[in-house]
Amino acid sequence: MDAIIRTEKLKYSYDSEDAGVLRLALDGVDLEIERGSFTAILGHNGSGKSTLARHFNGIFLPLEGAVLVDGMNTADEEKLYEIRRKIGMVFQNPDNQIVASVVDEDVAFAPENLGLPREEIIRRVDSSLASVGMEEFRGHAPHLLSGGQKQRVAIAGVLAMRPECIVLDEPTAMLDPKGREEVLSTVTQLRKEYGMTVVIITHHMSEAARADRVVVLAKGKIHLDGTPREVLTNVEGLSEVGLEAPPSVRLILALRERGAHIPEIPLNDEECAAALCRWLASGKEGE
Amino acid sequence: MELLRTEDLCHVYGTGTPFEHKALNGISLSVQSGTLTGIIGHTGSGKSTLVSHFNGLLRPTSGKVFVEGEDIWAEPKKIRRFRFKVGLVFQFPEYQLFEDTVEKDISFGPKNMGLSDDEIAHRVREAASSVGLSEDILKKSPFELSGGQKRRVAIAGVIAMHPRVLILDEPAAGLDPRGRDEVFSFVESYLSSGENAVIVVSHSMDDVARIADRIVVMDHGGISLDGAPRDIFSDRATVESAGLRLPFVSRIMHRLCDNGYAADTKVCDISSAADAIIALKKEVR
Amino acid sequence: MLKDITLGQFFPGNSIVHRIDPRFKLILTGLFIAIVFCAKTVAGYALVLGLLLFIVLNSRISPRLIFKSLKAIVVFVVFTAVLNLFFTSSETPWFQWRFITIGPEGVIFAVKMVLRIVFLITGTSMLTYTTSPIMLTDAIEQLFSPLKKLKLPIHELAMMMSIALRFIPTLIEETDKIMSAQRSRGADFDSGNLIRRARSLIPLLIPLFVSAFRRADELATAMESRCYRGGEGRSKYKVMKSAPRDYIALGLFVLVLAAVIVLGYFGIGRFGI
Repeated sequence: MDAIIRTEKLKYSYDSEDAGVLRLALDGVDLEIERGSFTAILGHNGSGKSTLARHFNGIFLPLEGAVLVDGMNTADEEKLYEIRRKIGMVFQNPDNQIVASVVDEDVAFAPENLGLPREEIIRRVDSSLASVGMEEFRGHAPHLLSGGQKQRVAIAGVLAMRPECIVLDEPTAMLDPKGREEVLSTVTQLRKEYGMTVVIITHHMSEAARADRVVVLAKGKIHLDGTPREVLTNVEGLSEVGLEAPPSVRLILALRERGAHIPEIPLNDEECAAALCRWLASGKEGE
Repeated sequence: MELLRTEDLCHVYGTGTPFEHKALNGISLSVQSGTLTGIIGHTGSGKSTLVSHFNGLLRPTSGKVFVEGEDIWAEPKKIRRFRFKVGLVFQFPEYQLFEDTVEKDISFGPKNMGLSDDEIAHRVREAASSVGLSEDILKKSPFELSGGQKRRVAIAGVIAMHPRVLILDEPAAGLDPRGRDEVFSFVESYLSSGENAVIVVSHSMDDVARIADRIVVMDHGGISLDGAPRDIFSDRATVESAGLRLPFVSRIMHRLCDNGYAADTKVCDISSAADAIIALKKEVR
Repeated sequence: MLKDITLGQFFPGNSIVHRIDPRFKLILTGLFIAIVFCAKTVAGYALVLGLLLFIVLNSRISPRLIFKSLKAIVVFVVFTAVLNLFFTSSETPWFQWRFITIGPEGVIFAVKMVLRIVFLITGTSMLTYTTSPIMLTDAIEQLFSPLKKLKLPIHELAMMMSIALRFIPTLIEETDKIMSAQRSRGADFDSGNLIRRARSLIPLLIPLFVSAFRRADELATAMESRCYRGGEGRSKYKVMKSAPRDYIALGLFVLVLAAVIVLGYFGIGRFGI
């Protein structure tokens, strides 16, 4: 596997070393993120999922073990800059990651830090804003935008570094349903257009269902890892760590309990309605 | 018993400026004791402006608000006492904690009411336990708690005032499924005496569907639907035109209807939806 | 409401005032302050007022917004006016009681002080209204860059200032929210004596500080994640190019300055009753 990010026996604790007993926020995580993949890291609050994300670009450094980005160790201070350019990070609170008072100036922040020539910065600002569909807001003040729009500006600001991978740490937790949809469809768009590697940290099943790999984290360890279909239909495995399977899965399982033979397990509305229609229709001809 | 009533309530922001904006447009609504009402609307529909009128944080541009039959703006100087009768918990309330212990923070409201120390101590303990906080947390600093615990402390701070109407704005925002279920379960338990009413403001029908016995849908500063959840959920067109999404089960049942099945669009939860679909299958046969 | 405070905000636009080179705008603001302090006579004040109106009209910023920003300093203005009105000694007082004197000198002085404050606030806020904070900081950084040789952290100071400006609206909104939340718990910010009122601010200020620190922490992480590592090696997205209009504006301001000095020197259009 061509891994863009690899963690090896990663351990981390927020307690200081001399505190005696270390409570581990991450307790031996071995994870590889494949180039070009779309991974969702799922877990309840306190499972260690955000802590893990913050290791991907060297904001946190491992207590034990290592994190390698494109072969570079995040503990190597000389490589840190290059690592951060490769791994773009989008955070939960859109207000607290926008630096500038005008949208386009904020998008230009990272390219300015990279010391790029002005023509290149302009090109990147334009193309990044276009990628998130925010061109018409380039001259706006960020605090007057909606939550979803702010978060798209934050994504554009990261895209302007031309990263190889984007890590989104609970990007929709503070947004309303409309804003959430805006952010998720932007991410889908990036996948489609550039084949960008995406890691999304979330506790929303519907968001995880869109990925092509779901990793469930609990108590700082990997609890489940597989395709959305494998993980999200594992009702027992999810409930062990306080998560609930998506409603479509629960509905089909409730029907099976009542004696219905529905073979497939749908992950979204369309699939679910289609499966139910097929099953309802199947009886007509049979008897 | 009627605890809260509004009559033709209007609110205009920035009157006389180019930014003039009519946030509420003639809201008449009554809330009875023992009920849990969900007020649902997208961002900017006016739902937060509306609930800020219930405890007198905002003064109506026109129209009236009555709490337990009293016009709350009859004597504007005495508006503060209605803040104790109608308790308002804001979105992300954990950000308003300020005392050095949980106990002191919860007692801020009761203290402002001028209660005796004994009564305050009693109420703090009672409110803390009603939101599932243990005794030993009371002496801790609220700033060293987890996000979910902080939120409970903040909610307990309002519950300790014993409001007749408890209003929570997006109480589940940012919580994981377990945290959300816990918050909703103690919100529901606030109704157990039958004397109080609870209002939950949200933009998610899914969250409110499972607990509310009445749903008010807001759109453009007005009420576009008001009724029992089952009746609201069967009216897909109006809900969607208000920029909202139906709960999952309703969406599926409506899709079955679109495909020519006589599915019951009034179901509210997964198990009754499953029952309805099984019944449908039998009919088809 | 706190939200109404517009002081120090930036209103994006494309007027000629917006387009003036921020470095020049900084110098012009300095000149404007000098002009206000040099104006001594009625004619001088009229000239300042004329210049100010000229700037405001050309900025295409609604005068309403400017009035709103003045609302924030009303208390300060009234305080200054009253102080000058009562405590300016007078040769021909209309009213005298202990150390309070009201006379024509006081009235004139109070009017002058009020005008001066209004001119200063309006004039200097035109700078922030029409210049994006980042441009402003860039300008400060460039104008003061010779000082870097003296090891002064010019870039860092400029960045701090721009971030502070960026977060003013956010923190104002937050203050509003926290006030509403504490009011809902019966907090009373508006009554009682000074000490009581100061005490009543604790439930507002503590959450505000906690939140500001949290924001600062998150912002620092986000900035580092976007490869920020100080001013070294940074390039610029928006470069400043001076145009003829900048020099024309500079000339105009110098002319006005000269005019008010001359008017003052010859005492043309002196204040008096």
